[in-house]
Amino acid sequence: MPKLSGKILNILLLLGVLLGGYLALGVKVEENAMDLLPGEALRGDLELLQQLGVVNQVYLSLECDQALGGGPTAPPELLRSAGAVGAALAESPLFCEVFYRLPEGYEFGLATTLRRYLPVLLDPYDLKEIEGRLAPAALDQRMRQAFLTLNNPTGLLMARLVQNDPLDLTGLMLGKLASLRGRLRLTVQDGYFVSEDGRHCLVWAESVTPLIASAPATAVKAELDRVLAKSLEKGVRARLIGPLPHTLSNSETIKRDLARLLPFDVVVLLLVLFLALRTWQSLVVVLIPFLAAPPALALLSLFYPRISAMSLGFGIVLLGSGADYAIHLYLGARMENGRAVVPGGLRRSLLVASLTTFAVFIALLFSHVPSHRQMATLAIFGMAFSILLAVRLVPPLGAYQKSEPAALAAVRRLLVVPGRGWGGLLLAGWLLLLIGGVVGWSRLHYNGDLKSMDTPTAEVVADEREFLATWAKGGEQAFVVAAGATPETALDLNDRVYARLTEAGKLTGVQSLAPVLPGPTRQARNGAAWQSFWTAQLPTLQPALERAATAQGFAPGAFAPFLAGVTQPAPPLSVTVLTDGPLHPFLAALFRQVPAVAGGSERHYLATTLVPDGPETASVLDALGREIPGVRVLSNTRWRQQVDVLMRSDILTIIAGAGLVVLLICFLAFRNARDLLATLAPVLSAQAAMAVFAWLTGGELNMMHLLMGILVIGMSVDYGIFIVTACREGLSAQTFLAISLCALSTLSGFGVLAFAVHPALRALGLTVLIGIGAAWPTALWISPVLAGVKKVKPC
Amino acid sequence: MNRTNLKFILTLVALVLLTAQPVLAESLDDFLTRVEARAAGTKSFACDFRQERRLAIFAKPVVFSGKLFLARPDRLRWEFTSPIASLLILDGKTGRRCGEGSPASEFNLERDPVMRLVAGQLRTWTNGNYRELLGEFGLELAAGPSLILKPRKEGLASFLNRIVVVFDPDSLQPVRVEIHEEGGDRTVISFSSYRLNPELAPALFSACRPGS
Repeated sequence: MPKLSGKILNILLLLGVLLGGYLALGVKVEENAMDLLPGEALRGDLELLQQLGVVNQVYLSLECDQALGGGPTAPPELLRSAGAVGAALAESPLFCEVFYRLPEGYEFGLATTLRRYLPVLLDPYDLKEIEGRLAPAALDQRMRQAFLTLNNPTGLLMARLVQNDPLDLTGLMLGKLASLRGRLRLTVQDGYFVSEDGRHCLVWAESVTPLIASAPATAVKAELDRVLAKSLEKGVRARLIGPLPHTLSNSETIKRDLARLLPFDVVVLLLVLFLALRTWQSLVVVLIPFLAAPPALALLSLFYPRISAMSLGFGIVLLGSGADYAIHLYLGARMENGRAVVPGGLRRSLLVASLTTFAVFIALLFSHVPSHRQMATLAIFGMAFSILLAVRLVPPLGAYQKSEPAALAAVRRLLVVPGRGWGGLLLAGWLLLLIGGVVGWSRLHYNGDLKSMDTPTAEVVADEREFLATWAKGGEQAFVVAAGATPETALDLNDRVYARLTEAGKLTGVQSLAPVLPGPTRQARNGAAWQSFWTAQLPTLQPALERAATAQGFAPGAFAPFLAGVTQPAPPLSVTVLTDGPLHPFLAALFRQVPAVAGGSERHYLATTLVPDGPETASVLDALGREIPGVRVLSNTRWRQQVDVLMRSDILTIIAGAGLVVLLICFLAFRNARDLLATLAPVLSAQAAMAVFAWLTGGELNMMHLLMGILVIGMSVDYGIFIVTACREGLSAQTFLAISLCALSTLSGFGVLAFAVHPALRALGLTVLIGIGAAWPTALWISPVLAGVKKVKPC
Repeated sequence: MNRTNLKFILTLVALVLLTAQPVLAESLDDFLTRVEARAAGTKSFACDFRQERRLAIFAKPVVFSGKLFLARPDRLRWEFTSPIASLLILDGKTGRRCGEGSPASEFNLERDPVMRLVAGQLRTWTNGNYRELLGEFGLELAAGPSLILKPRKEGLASFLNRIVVVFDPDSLQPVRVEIHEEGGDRTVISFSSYRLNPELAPALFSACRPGS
């Protein structure tokens, strides 16, 4: 009966794996950078950046050869190329906004539009400037200038303009348009956006999908390549700027790394296992985590409808440690009376080790980072399945073990050092390592900037450097976002932002809509000030203007339309008047209607001000976020600091939580301080070695170090548990072999990634290489000494 | 008038209309070809001009006079000498202007929309490349011979009614340009004393000093 129920259980397990595999096929996996960020506020910031279109932007800087010309005027080949690229992108379904040329004659239409709304657009500062133009001498000069202009070729068609605006009030408004450019250094030539050196032309577009995931980025890149190949004239090339090249560069680097390292990795892993165990059946132990992954993934999808690709990848990496239990079971199980039997000591070790591993993963569930929580859940499910599969399937395979060749037995005996009297020396070395770890740890800092895991190619870096040199003044910019349920409320808030920046004297390099499109409150205030200004000025202006005008040759009453017009109230300027006009390319980034964010109203409006992000603006940026409700400041500098603080707190919470629980489990398991120290010795070595290495190589930790550090804690404490349990049960050299195989398989599996080019993979590989590289010998040579074992019994 | 006579007259009118249309179109084309051919033989010229502006906002017509120098393909000097001296120079895609009321300054035609419009007009009147205007203006050939340019686009048509360029029948050089604005304002520029293919010193198109 027990035999039958065992078989049924095995069948049920395999069915579970198959069902899990089937269900896992339907799981939706997504790449989303937001899953990597700690805290709701930071994820909200990134979501806001996505809504602003920042992560969807593609900039194409077209550049012509010296031979084609340049100088103050762009060569026609360059302009034609920009026109063709822009037109082709505008037709592509992959882009929703494409900016490459302002409509012909936009300047005249814009001036006419703005003139109509001068009363609500010009503010009290402008009225002061206008007051200066009304002085008798200034009027004389202006009339003289108007007369000469009208008799010059430049004034041939300007009679009506001069008649309606002899004081050039429209010019005041046109001057404010500079606020829309901010730090962008561009000139407009024939409607195209041309650099000051005349050799570059800018085309920018917004992708319909975010470009921080590799699949849409690849599709968009293919489309861009097609368009550029078709549209660029000879001697013109394009540089691609934005998140897209980074996404592709990272994705390609990872692919190249894996293609280069994985074959080597697999061969070494299989070779190590095969040489050590020497049966094909033993290779099943490697399959255990892979068999556990599909049902774990299916279970995970019950809790998370959307699974992050990052969680999936690293979750499976974490549950890879399940192979260790299979190795211990394979080597430790014995055949007795035709039945596979797991010795009591090994069962006890497995139980304690599983509990500590689960404790580590449960601690990871308390992370502020959603992807960490997901990968911990996946690892917990996967580990449970791994252990179940290993316990059910692996012990009977132990029967296939072959007798050990003499050479391998010699190597294994070499591993068993405690009996050789080197204990004192080893302990001294270990203490030195721990001291080094304490010193190193105090000098480390956490780099929460996701850019630290970015690997742009040399070409991408060169393109960005060239782009900044050509188009942008200064460095990074902060986004000050005013959100409102209506366009009016968003614009009113935006005005408060601009007023606060004005008050702080920090308008240099600011890109804002406020001077060109004030909110309704400020428009009403401007309109009232305008009315009272002209009501007060008209009685004296009328005769003074008449005198100055007729003195220059103008007809009596020539400027009556102007005088009659200034007291006419203007209608409020609505957003659509400007956004539907030629300024749209500049306004699209500064004002947009967006779908609601979670928990918000149905749709809302965002008015954005771009402010130079540096030490000189730090205090005003702080104040803006604090003092104006409804305004959010997205500053890369501040963002990095916040991520840093949150991630640092995450590390401490997780490591402290996991450490305490592991300590408690080990204490309960061994109830002896010496055994406890011996059990934790590999963990301490791993942490100390990682700290020393990180300190010697720059003193920086990132997210990958944290994740893999947790895996290393879980694995290295297992080494201690198996060794110390084995010590108490009468230390067997077989345990040395099992631990060595676990360590070797981990090192060959993940440690090889230390040679990767991508910083995330490299950090992952280095953490495992250094951590396990230190924990392994500690478990073999230090833990037995600490546990007081003098002799090892043969297998 | 009996029915047969009426039929005859209508047929005649129809025939005239049908045949006259291609003849007129061809004449315009021929005329433009002749102007272009003549212009191609003129590497440079200098002439005097007189500009008379009749604007509603002026108390009386205002007359300015000056000299025009042109060197193909793209250099032009438009100089007022009386009553107030001022100067406009176009050299390729750049230019300079100076004089009272217009401080000495350089400009780029690609970047300055007003100057681009002005330069386009001046060059077309003086260069003979009227076909270049076909996108923006409807062209009609009239007696004189003269070309009537009517703006096609709504924006320009809102303030410009038409431009009439009257040519010398022999030299095919423009002798008068009339600019009729919407609302009745009118400008007439008359050109005289043409000197064809003179040697023009390069300094004429670089030094921005009226009267230099």
